Amino acid sequence: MSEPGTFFHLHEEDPVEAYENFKLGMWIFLATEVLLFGGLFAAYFIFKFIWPDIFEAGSSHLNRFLGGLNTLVLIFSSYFMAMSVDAAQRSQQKKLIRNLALTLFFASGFIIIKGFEWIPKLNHGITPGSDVFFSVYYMTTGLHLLHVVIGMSFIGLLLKRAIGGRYHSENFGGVEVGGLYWHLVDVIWIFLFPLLYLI
Amino acid sequence: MSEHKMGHIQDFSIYIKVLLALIGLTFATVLVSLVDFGIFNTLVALLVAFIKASLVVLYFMHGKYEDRVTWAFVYYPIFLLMTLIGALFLDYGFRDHTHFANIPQSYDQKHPEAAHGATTEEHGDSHEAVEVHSEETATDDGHSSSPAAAIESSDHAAPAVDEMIESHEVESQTTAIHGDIEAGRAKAKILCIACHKVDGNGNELPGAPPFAQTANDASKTPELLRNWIKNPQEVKAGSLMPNLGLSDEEVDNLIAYINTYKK
Repeated sequence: MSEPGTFFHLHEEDPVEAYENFKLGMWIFLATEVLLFGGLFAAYFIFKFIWPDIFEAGSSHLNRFLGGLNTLVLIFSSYFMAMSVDAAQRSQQKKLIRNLALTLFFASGFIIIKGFEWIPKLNHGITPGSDVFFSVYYMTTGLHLLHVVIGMSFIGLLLKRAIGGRYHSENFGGVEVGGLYWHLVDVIWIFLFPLLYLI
Repeated sequence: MSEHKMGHIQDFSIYIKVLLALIGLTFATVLVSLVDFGIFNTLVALLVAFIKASLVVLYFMHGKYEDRVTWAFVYYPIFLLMTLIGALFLDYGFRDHTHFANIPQSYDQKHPEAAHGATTEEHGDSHEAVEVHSEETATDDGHSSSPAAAIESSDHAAPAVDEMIESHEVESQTTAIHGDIEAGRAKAKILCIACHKVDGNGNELPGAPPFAQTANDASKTPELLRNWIKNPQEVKAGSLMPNLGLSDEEVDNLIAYINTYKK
């Protein structure tokens, strides 16, 4: 039932069991990702507690509109990722390709908007070394941006394989696991946006 | 095929409902941030973010259909993170962090100062010229080798002093002090504060005299202070005062700041 090179082919496992383990592996990895960002969130809360005025002054430099727009862009991207998994589960080949392309489109939008935020700031001399708020700001959003880029490369791979006709109702583990990673990137931003931009 | 099927196909409408809820909650979190709940601002923002994240995990990530083992890996990092943040707050919450040796400044605090510093630099150049002139006058007259004392007793230098006070708004009566008080204060808050109290903050270690004592000690002339700050070991070998490696301008700024303690 499986094509050459898929995870299911490498093991003498029941395909459903292999699929469940594939997903569980990603959930375990996502737990470590939460802790990776968690260290930075802890730094955020402690620094904000000790130096609230620096955080208030720094936060006022951020563009709430661009931050909010990026939140919506990432939510749409996440939605189309979920729709991609749904399409793969229903063996809807064309819909899968279209939804993956839309996921990538919104992901690129996020990076472009982020560029419109970062580049004027850096030109203005606001750098990671400017103060403790901007250290946290550039570190958290930078690490998140790195995850967006990694996620996009995975979605690109999924798109390439989807065009090759790899995914269908009995082999969609790859799309689902790629989706899990992409949704975590969205979840992290859901927390970063209010903490950095709004309060 | 095994008995239980692969994955779970959700009703199509769930996705669009979750999407609409997430968009609505994004607007809600922006609107709610415009209301000031005081210390609860962070809590409200986190609560909305938590609801949004839960929707993504439950419906977009199909967490609703996952087994207990998977959910253990959801709760586990959250529990560890709560422990980390909780322990940090137990530690920092009971510390007097106003006495930290290094009090960082915000970008805004640094920035107007940088603009201010650029203008005072121009002033600084002209004063240097004034000072050189008055120093020459003093030595020519042979009154004293100390420029500070020389100016006070020299009639020749009086106009120069007036000019300096006028342009620089320094209350000091000695030409030797021509640094930028605010720049000096900023530097002191970073460097001196580890051993001397600066504006009432910081440590006061044994062997590190308060600025007020130094400023009111007539024997500590600006000239002596300049040499002292530039290289303490040369003035008094074995002193605990470290060589801070400052530029002439930075030393002058510090001396100007210390001089504000003069009664």
